[in-house]
Amino acid sequence: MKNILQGIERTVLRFPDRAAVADGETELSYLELLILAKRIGSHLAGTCGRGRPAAIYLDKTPACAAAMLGTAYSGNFYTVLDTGMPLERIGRIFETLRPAAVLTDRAHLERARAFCPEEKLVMLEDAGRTPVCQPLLDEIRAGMTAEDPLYVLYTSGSTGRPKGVVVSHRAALAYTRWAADTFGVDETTVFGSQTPFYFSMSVTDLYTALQTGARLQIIPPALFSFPLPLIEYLNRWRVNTLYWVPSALGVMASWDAFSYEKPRFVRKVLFAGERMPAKTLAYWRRFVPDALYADLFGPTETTDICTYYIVDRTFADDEDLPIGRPCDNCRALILDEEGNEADRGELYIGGPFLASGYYNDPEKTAAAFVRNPLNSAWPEPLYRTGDLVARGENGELVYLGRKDHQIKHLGYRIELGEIEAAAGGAEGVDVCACVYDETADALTLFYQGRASAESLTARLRERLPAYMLPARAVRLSSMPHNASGKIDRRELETRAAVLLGKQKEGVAC
Amino acid sequence: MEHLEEVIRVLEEVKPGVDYRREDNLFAGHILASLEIMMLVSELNDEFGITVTLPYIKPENFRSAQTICDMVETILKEE
Repeated sequence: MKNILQGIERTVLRFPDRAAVADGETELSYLELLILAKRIGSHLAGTCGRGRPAAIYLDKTPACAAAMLGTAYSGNFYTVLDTGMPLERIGRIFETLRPAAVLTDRAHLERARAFCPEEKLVMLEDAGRTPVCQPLLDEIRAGMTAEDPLYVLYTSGSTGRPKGVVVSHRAALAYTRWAADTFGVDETTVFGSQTPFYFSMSVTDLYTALQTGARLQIIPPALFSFPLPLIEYLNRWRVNTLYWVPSALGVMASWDAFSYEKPRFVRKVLFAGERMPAKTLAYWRRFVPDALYADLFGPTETTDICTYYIVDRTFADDEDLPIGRPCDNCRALILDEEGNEADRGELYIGGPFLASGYYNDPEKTAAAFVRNPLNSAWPEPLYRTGDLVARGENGELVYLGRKDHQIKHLGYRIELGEIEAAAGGAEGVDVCACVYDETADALTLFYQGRASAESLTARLRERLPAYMLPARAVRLSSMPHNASGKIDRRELETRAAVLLGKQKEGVAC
Repeated sequence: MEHLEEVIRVLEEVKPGVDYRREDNLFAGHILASLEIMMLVSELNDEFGITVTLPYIKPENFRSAQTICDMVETILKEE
């Protein structure tokens, strides 16, 4: 197969009437999804040419999935925009994306007009009524290769300019094949989809589902505030497979929701995107003991995932889960600063899951997508993850932290993750995050839970050397989360800077 | 009804800048983001000396200042 749509077309032949994507309000069968996607594709092919980006400005609905596929039918590629995103950030994305069209609906039209000229706006309602022009779609397909982009997904760049990760059909096909084979996804799978379509994790549940005939049951985001209605929703739709960020899984543990009601059909619990606190995992395993649990790890630049660990033992509260082994079809190298293979160093990834580069950003592409320094015979591309890992005793990879989270404080190299693991294991700490303020040269630990700052600090003193002790521990009633549902470290850095500033001025806080 | 002003004050502490007297759908405009409910509940517990138990954490109870107030008063009566 050269195109992700071919896999979906095969699924349609097998299960035309099964639900493909649903959100509790609307539902599209595989055949309906295909027809809607082809209509949208026929429309876009007539308006925005070929090989161009189209931005999708829609909420996470079945129709949005059809719009994504429709863009692919038209020979173009998509970027899904967060409809809650500040206009300024959309502006920064458009600096490099320069979309040929913005696909939106009546509900979002007014806001879309604020960042998109009228002639580039395509209304979903119109596109969805366009007759399918099969000869045109066939001609487009014939002209495409597996290297053509499927989507450009924007991630935050350290300089403040978002980076558009270009993922090809080849990468998405190779990746979803691995995910489906490894986790046994098939037509009996019902994904409870948590992550937004503008986040790389959604590629796993959406495309793995569509390649296999599974059902993607979109969970309304507001339900993550309401654990019992959320569990009812999972039970009502017989959701059996979850692929969530640990923060979302942690909601159940924080409220002790399973003491009231359990998800009755869940058999697979996959997670990625941030560290899984051992306590959250233990909570889930206690109440949902028969499920398979797996920790997936990878950046958007490897489509979604490059290593994984299927949970096969129990962990102490302050122990970190390993990130496991490279996925089949992935090459993982650990290189030291001189570019030699080492047991501890930066993780480099090769193989077909690799993104093609950053859209309209040759400098960042050249810095991150490099030649394998160990192979001088031909240019073998590797992605430098910026993640520091070590090879454990049993060959499993262990995540140490971001290269840019490795800080130098009082002359010592410190992994913020190590402080977080120590704090996260403390009694009465549900979740925590440690941030470093370079200007003040100070560590601040934020946490959520019953523990007092004094008892937590005392515990850390027992576990960590003096140079790793945070200057202060700050209890929050709720951790801030970013649009993907992960802990918002930038927001915490800002809060830490404010606190440190006040401290400097002698203001009590 | 007698606790409405206190509820509004708590809401304003958790998330300032919203006209809670008028707003009757705190979810429609993403006014109360996902995990802010937890913060709100913790503040309500402190303010009213109650324990909002999990079965109360449902969308219809958090739609507006009024529905939150009704919930608080129900719990106060029960306790």
